[in-house]
Amino acid sequence: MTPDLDPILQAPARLKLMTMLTAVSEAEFVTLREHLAVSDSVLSKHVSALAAEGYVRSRKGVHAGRRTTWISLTPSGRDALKAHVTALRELIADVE
Amino acid sequence: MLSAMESTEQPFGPSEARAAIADAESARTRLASGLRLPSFFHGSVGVAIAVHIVTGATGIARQDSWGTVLLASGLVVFALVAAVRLWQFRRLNGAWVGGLAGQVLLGTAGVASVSYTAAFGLATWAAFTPAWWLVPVAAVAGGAVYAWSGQRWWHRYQGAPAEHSRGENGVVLAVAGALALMFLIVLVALR
Repeated sequence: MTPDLDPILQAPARLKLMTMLTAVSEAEFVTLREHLAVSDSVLSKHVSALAAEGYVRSRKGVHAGRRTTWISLTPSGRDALKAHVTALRELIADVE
Repeated sequence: MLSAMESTEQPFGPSEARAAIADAESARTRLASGLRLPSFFHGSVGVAIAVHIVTGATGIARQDSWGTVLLASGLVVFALVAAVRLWQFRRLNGAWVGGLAGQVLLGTAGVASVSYTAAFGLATWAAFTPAWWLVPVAAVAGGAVYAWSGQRWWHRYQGAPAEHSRGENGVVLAVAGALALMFLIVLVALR
């Protein structure tokens, strides 16, 4: 039986982004962009897609005197990530 | 245009699943291990706690209005140090870790809270007795253990960031803060 993978999190960059957010309470857009090595627009689209599902929350703030965006994982995002990773592990276990 | 990474249409097999998990976990480890503490972070927290214990114990023992001022000034010093250090961490890393505020600065880690309570209690008792020299000794010991506890939490966090990143529940912190405030009010009222 194929485990239920979350289609929103099947994109590796989104899985990476969500997993990175479990290490912090909140991270600045620029910090995430540098670690993901993607452009502003790509990250922005990923964040928008995840925010539309209620998986992440973004808010405007100020960092080092400039306006910025802070991203954090929501409780439902944390649950979705956990379920997705469990499904991935089941997929791996099925062939081992 | 989005990169190929965004595609969700491709079939997902075990090897892709393994690679996706490994890649995501490695990104998380890199992010956590890349976070830096401002210089003299734990030391400054330990010193602020020691100052707070000395001023708090002495202030309570004086039982006059200057004692109240002393007690409040120690709390203000600690609050200022904590706020500045957290602000520096956030500015330095572009990230916020709730566990750092709760476990390291507010001392909600078991070792920190027990050592703080013991040191504060001992210092307060000593301030009422001829053994006043115990006040700074207890304060320094309390500050040192508090700082060591913070350092230990930081190492644990970097080893397993997902397990340790989250801060304390806001309600728990609010209740703890309210209890501490009530305790101080009672102490001041009884003097």
